[in-house]
Amino acid sequence: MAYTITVNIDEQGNVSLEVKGIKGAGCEKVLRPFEQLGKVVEEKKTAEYYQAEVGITARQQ
Amino acid sequence: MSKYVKVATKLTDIDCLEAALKDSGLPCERNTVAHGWGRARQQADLVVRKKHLPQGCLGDLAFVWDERLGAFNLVMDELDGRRSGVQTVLSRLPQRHAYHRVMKQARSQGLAVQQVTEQGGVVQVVLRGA
Repeated sequence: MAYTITVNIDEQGNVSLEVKGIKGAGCEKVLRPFEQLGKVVEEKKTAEYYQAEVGITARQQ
Repeated sequence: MSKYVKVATKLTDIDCLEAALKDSGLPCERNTVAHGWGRARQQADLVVRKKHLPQGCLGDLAFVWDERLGAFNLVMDELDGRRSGVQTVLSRLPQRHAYHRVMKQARSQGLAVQQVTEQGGVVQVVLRGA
């Protein structure tokens, strides 16, 4: 699934990242390498974050 | 948007620091002795020679790794640090260093750079993954 990360870098070197196109906790995996660039000072999760990643559930017999 | 994160960065990556200085037209030397005013000498990780700095500077501009800080520290003559030409270069460093760190991370994650723009002092990079 295609997704985008919009990165804004201010003059003080603060890096703000927004992920679009990934539902559920998948965006955590995508952002984790960028969180290691420094110290996380702000974090928000939105409605898309709480939507289901995949709508198929296998039922065991 | 599914998630938003803000990360504060420090000058920690020597490759990105060198690239940031090159963005301001300053070539660097690695792991060498920096020359200050008079006989002042200092072993440094990254050095910009006086000849590349704005006219009138008394010594080299150097960066030395500070273990306690976990980042590179700037070492230069106090008077040079007050020169407007030097201040302009130094004020751009945090943003340019962070920009190169983002690009380095994007490359290692296999992300494509879709767009780079600058507005109101903020650099925006749009990355695309699959």
